[in-house]
Parts: sequence; structure tokens; C-alpha cells
Amino acid sequence: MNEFPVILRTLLRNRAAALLTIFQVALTLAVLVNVFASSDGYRAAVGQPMGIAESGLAAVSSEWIDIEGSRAPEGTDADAFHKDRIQRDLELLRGIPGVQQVSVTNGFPLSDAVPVRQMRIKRDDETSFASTFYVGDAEFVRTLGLELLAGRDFSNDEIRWSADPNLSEGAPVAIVSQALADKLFPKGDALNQQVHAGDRLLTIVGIVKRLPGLHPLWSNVELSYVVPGVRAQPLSRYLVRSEGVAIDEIVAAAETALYTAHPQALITVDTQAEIKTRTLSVAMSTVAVLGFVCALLLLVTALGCYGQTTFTVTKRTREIGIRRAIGSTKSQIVSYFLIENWLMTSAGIVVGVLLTYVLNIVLVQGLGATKVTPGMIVPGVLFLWLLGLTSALVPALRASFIAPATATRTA
Amino acid sequence: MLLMSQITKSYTTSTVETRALSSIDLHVRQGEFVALSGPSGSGKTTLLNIAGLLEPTDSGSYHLDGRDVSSLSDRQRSRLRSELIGFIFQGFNLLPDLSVLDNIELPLRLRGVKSAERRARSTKALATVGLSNRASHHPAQLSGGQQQRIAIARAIAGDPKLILADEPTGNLDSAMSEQIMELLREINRAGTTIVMVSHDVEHARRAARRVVIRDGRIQNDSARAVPAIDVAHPMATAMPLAMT
Ligand SMILES: Nc1ncnc2c1ncn2[C@@H]1O[C@H](COP(=O)(O)OP(=O)(O)O)[C@@H](O)[C@H]1O
Ligand SMILES: [Mg+2]
Repeated sequence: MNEFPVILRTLLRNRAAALLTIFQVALTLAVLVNVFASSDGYRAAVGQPMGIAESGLAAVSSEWIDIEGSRAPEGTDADAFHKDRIQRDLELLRGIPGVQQVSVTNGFPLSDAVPVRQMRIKRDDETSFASTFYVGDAEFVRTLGLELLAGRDFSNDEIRWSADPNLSEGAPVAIVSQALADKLFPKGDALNQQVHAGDRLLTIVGIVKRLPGLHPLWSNVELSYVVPGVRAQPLSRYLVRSEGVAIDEIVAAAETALYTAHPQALITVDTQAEIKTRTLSVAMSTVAVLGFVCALLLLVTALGCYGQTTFTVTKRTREIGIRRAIGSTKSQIVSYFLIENWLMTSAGIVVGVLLTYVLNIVLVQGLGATKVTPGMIVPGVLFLWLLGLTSALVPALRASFIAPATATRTA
Repeated sequence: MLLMSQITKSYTTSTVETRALSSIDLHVRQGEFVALSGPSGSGKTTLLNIAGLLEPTDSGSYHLDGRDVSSLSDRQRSRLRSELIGFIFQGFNLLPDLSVLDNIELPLRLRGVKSAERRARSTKALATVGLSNRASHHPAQLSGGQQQRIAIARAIAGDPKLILADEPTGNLDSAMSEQIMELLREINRAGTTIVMVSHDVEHARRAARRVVIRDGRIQNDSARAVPAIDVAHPMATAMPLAMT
């Protein structure tokens, strides 16, 4: 440690040679921390129910398919046909032992297959909030297990059946998530206010604590609303809440019941948990690729530190011999190179922390990435210090075996 | 100060074994100035390396400053080098990235001397070699003679009992050489034992004791062969024990 100032001065005289290592460490830190930050949302989403009572919830799709491509069987009124079909499905599902509630909806939360509409306070407002748009019946809130904070649930007489995906002639009311209510009305007076949702003017009649939307990693995932109604279309979706019976049994029973009733229909039954996992799997493979890139980068940095130390040790063979001759112990030689490496790594870390924030600002603005926190940087810094020292250790040990006689034997 | 008996040393490369030293008996007393000469390849550097604990011996016994050093660990040998011995090399061997002052202070740093004392000792050593105004220079900014004087300052900064010099004037012109020799004689007069390898016949002749080495053996030792010549030096008149 006595040698510390000498090591620093030597390094400063040879800073050009150290720049590559410094730059490498800086870049590695910046990429590492930012990848960690970017995957932060993913990692948070994996274990999170996001406001719905996920366990005990099944998601059932039933699609009436015609080979000719018509909406309904020949000679029937399409709307009436599908209304009848959906009502019979609901009855079947409600008849399964252990099923508590069943709701018809236009899409499953976090399934990456729900429509999105722009929400504005005035029709020509510049600012709007992209929000997930659900159509649900009077059972929707209870089936999902949403927590109603203010206002009311839908009543049965508000539920209109319509083939129109926007449900234009339905009751002009909506239940919104707290997050959406706060965005639209920051003063907290959202209840009973009117909002423009796409082309419709709706009155907010209820506010639920949370209602997750299109995608777990979407920054607007908490902005959602639901309007009352049922879409009478060939593809219908049901949410099934069970109580007291394992969800797998409900899934199997629902499959059997619906398939028996409509042998020609396309029936898919999943648990809500499976739906979310499937949506995240795309992100998961991206995270895996980024993780692989990080591992490569770390490997290159480790090799860089190893190479840098090996190079200086080789270049300074004679100097090491001189140091040994005038009294340096082996461990003083080892610590010389470890301290030198630590100084370079630390310089890289200082630059790297700045680079991390610069890169993060770009990523936050461009891709909506998570903000980097000191809590993410500190482990990265510790890890890089350790990586540098580990990589420098072998060449440093090798240096300590340079014979003291080298001082007198090389010209 | 330095007592060697029956020292042998060979180097083995993949093809040949070279016997660098055979049956060396040498006794150097505190305060002596010994000039070691002999043809190139005769084993002078090897002898100096062994004396300076830079290399181990194959056989024989070696006592340095009253201590048997043949069984010391690498760490103990390093410590002894730093506390007891000052080295001066033909190629100066200053560290190019360190300032003159850092170079002189290095042995003191290595043995953990505190900064105030370090500074005092190195400044004094620098004054002894007459280069106080060069403290913050780097070796490359100095002439060969100046570099060797800095190397001498480094060697004496730690107050060693023994200075080992391997052809210290080998890379210098005669005027410079004379300066260096005068400096070494001065250091010796102050009590430091010096063993110096020299090619220069003139320099060797002026040393109090001359040892000639050939083919790894001591061919001639002025202290042993003709002790009367060296009456000028009180130490040299004492008969070394190597009577075996
Ligand atoms: N590391 C070594 N490996 C093999 N042979 C060596 C080594 N060092 C010295 N020698 C040999 O030992 C002998 C003595 O060398 P040295 O002590 O350097 O002689 P001098 O200093 O008198 O010129 C020479 O023959 C030399 O070639
Ligand atoms: Mg030699």
C-alpha cells in the first residue's frame, strides 16, 4: 500500500495504454446496468397479479367457424344466432361444479390481444392516454376480482348485445382504473365526469383500484377502462372464476362441456396465469438474448484485463526483476499489479457511471425503459471490481515469479 | 560481512550444463573494498548475484552479516536485500516511469519507511551524489553518468552495510567513470563494504583488495596471495580465514 502513489503516477504516465481497458470497463458497466434496468419491468411483472385475483381464474375462447367464411349458419340472423350461442355457453360454464362467476369479455387481461383506445377529456385535446378497452357484462368486475374504490358496478339493464366492436349504441358509461382516472383528472374528481374514449363520450360511473391492460411490460398497462355490453360475434371470450375446485379441473371440465355442445367450434381453455406467462415469453427470450450479450461482454472485459496485465508484466519483466533485486517481496509484486488493475477498473467505473446515466436517458426517452437507480449500479460496480481483480490475478502471480537475477542478466 | 565457503553454481539449459562457479571460498570483512575482475563469462556476475541473494547456490555455505542465509525463505531473502544490500548495475536499472526521487525512495517504500523519514533519507542521498536539483526529473532526461549517480543514491539511501556493484562504469566514458569511482571510494571510506566487478584494470588496481576469477574459480586474491601489498588498508591486512 506504501507504493500506491507510485503506482498511480506510473499509470498516469502510461495512460494511453490504460485507455482501452478503462473504456471497456465503462462500456460494460453501462450496458450491464441498462440491460438490468430494461429487464426490471419484466422481472417485476413475472410474479405480479397486477390487481386481478389470478389464481382460480380461467380464460375460455370459443370460436364458431364456418368453412365458407360466413358469420352465421345459412338462413339465420347472425346477431341472434351468436347471442343464443353465447347464452348457452354461459349456462354450460355456470353449470360446472365449482364455478362461481362467468363473464363475457372482448379480451383477456395481459393477453396482448385486447383493443386500445385514446382517452381524452375534450374531443380535440392534444394530450390523450392510450388505454386498454374492455367490453364486459355485469359480472366482469366480480369475476376478475377487481376492487371497486368509488362509484358502482354495471347493472344488468345496461348490458347491450351488439355486433359492433365499439358498442356505439351501448350505455355511455365506463368503469376506469384508478391510474387512468388520475391521469385524466389529476385533482381526483373523476367520478361522474365525461371522457372521450375513441369516438364515444362516456360517463365514469365507477373506479377500480387496478385493471391490468394489454401487456404486462407496456408502460400504460395500468390505464384501462371497461364499458358494459356483450359482443355477439363468432369469437367469444369468457372469464371463469372457480372456488373450492382446482383450476385445472375447471379447465378440463369447461373444455369437455363446450366441445360437446359445439363439435365444430374452436375451443381454447387456459388459466389466466398461463395467458400472462405466454405474453411474457416473448420478452423473456429478449431478456435471454440480452443476458447472453452481457455475458459475452463480461467475458471480453475479463480477457481485456487479463491481456492488459499480461502485456504490462511482459513489457516490464526487467523492471520487475529490478524491484525484486532491491527488496520487493513476491506479494508486493502481486499487489502492485492488482492495485494497478484496480485503479484502471475504477477509472473505467467512474466513466461508466456517467455513461450508464447517459445511455439510460436515451433508453428512457426512446424506448420507455426503466430509470436506473443507484441500487442497480452498486452491484455492477462491485462485480466489475471483482472481475478485474480476478482476471489480473494470474498474470500478477506470474509476475511475482520473475527472478530477481533478471536485473543483472538482461542488458 | 560476507563469508562463502565451497560455493558451487551450475546453470542447466535444455542442452548443456554450465558450471558457473566451483569451490568458491571468499571472506569479505566489514569496511573492505573488493574489486572482482576476470574474463567475460568467468562467473563474476554469478558470484555477485549469490552474494546479493538474487540467486540460490547449489552447494556450499554462505553467511551474510553473521547469518546463515542458505535456508532463508524468499520473503526473508527479499527483506535482507532491502535492509542490508545496495545494488549498483552496469545498465543503471532505474525505473523509467518514476521520478529521480521516487526511484531513490523505492527501496525505502518497499520496507515500509514512513514518508517523512523517506524524504529525509532520499534528499540526503541525492545530496551525496550531487544531484539535488534533479529530484523531479525522469531518468530519460539525465545523462548516463547522472543516471548512475542516481542509482548510487538509491543504493545508499537505505544505509546498507554492503554495496554490490556489477561493472558500474561499464557504460560510461572515462571522465564519468572516474567520478563514479570517487563516489564509491567516498562511500567506502564512510564504512560501507563494497564488492565491485570491474573490467577496468586501472579501477581494479586502485581497489584495496583485488580478486581475480577465471572459469568459475578464484585464481588470485590479493588479500591472500600477497597480503603485504595492501598495507594501505587496515582491514586488508587481516588474514582471511580461507586457509582450507
Ligand atoms: N541464466 C543462465 N543460464 C545459463 N547459463 C548462464 C546463465 N547465467 C550465466 N550463465 C553462464 O554462466 C557463466 C558465468 O556467467 P557470468 O557470471 O555472467 O559471467 P561474467 O559476469 O563473469 O561475464 C557463463 O558461461 C554464462 O554463459
Ligand atoms: Mg557479468
